[in-house]
Amino acid sequence: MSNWPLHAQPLQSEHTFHIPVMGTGFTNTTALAVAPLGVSSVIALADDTLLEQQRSVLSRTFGVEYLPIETKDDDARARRTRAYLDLIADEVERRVAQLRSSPFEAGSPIQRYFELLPETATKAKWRSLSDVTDPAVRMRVESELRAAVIPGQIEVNIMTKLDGAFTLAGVPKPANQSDAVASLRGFAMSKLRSIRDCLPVPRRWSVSMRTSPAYSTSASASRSATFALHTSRPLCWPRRGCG
Amino acid sequence: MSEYRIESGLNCGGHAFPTEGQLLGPVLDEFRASRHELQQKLYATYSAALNALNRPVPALPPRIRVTVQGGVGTAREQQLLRDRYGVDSVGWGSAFLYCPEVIAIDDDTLNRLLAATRTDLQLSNSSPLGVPFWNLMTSKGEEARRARIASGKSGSACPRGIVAFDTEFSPYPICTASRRYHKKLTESLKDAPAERRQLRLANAEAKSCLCGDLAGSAQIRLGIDLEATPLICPGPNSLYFRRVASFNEMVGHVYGRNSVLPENVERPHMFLNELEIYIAYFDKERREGPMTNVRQKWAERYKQGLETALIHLRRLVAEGWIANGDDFLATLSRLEAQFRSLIAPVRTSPNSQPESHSSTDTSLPEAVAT
Repeated sequence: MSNWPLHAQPLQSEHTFHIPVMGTGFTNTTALAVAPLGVSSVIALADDTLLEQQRSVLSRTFGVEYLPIETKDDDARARRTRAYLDLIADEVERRVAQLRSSPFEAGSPIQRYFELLPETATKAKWRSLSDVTDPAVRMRVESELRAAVIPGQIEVNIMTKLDGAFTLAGVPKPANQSDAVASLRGFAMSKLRSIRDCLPVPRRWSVSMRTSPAYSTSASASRSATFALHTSRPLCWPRRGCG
Repeated sequence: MSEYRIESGLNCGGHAFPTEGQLLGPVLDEFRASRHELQQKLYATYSAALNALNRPVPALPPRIRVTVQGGVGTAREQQLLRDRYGVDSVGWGSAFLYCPEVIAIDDDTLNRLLAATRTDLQLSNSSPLGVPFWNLMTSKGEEARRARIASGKSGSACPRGIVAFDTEFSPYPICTASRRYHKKLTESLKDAPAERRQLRLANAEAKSCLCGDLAGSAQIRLGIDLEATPLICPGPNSLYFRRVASFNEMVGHVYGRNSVLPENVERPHMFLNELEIYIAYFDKERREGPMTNVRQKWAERYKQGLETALIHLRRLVAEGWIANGDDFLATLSRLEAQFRSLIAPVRTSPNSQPESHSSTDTSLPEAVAT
């Protein structure tokens, strides 16, 4: 009853819209542009080959070392997923920090953040900034506004019924290596945080999932409806030391 | 469960999971009405599970979010969804396809989308999953698929295999869009009656290389594969957006500061668009095969769902949520008349005797996973 955070939800920015998942690649880089501006978007985890290709290019762009994870490598799908999500999380975090420390002047990132917000109390406060002349007061309001910047969520989409259990060559994948399970593990191991992080007793991640018959690949799976497991991953959310 | 993300069954992009006639408005209304109860029930289950694990239980039920997406296109609709149904966030998908600043869409695909007409965008049979799929038929990926058929070698090389789930011809699952499947299928149908052969081949040839080509746009944008042949799967609502917009413009549009919709194009309300698509789908499905018992029951539920929606939409107007109520009601009446003519008692012909197709009937809409 004690240390439970009452909201048990990540802090949400004041935007009242989000960008849903589109296809397998259309929204995979969206968070880089919109999360610092407080808008939530979704990364599709279906295609780990694409995620790996994207990571190889983006790593170079961001000046981050790229260590390839080959298809044949151990636990490749989960590790590729994790590596991609971590790359995006780090870059978004960097951009958020940059935005927070940018000056309140026309054309700056933080100015854009507040311009885009819907009409809320926070936005009204930002508007009032232009009327503040006292430097001390201005500094206080500015720092309050900087603290009020809440990045958009980086969410992931796992099509849980797309849980292929064979390689392209027709070899059965080892236990826990089917597609959706591997994606989930990759997400769980990543820096992106889930609701689970606010469990009362912090503990380290240990994700070991069994593929239940309901999710395993069968001829009938292709006829049943796929559904997306949507997991909200707040970034820059109070860390609670759980891996 | 911390968030319920509700999507229109048909008025959305990509794979469509049609409900049995339950439209977005009535579904959202139910969520609004039962939200507290839902939260309490989840809390009870959650608390019991935590207790069993000997772990602390939260003093208050954790908050749940309800979000919605599917066909939203104006700030007024955004506001309706927020205020009338109390949703926490509204998903804007297809509109943002026109915003290359934040979406990985390549120029060529974007131009094809901009040039698309209503008939170019189809609720297609393209998905190897057998689920209806909104697909732009003028995409480069579709051109590539048709070129493969024309060259006599239909089917893709299957670079990914993410939707390989068919075991008819192999000990392990392969994809119905793949060259391999098409070859096996052709062989197996060598001695089949011509009509059956053509039907099955046409069905297989319609399958697009989803997991390979949906990645195309992202690959081109990052310079990973400039020769990619992208597919794109916009929702029907996307065709009302006719120009490229910056992210600032698009966010301004969401909140009603400016508009990116063309002024000279009439765009019906998102709920009317949804109703129209559901009526068209009903019409198509009922023509698809004989009315078996299963299909009859489906049709009854579907009709009931649409009746509920009609009442709900009239109530929205009465409650003052609709800006141009008269136009709205006029369109609603037109759609209702169309719907009534579809469900009018059908003349009985000698062929209307139900056949025993129920076990092999594949034209039934998919159940929607919830």
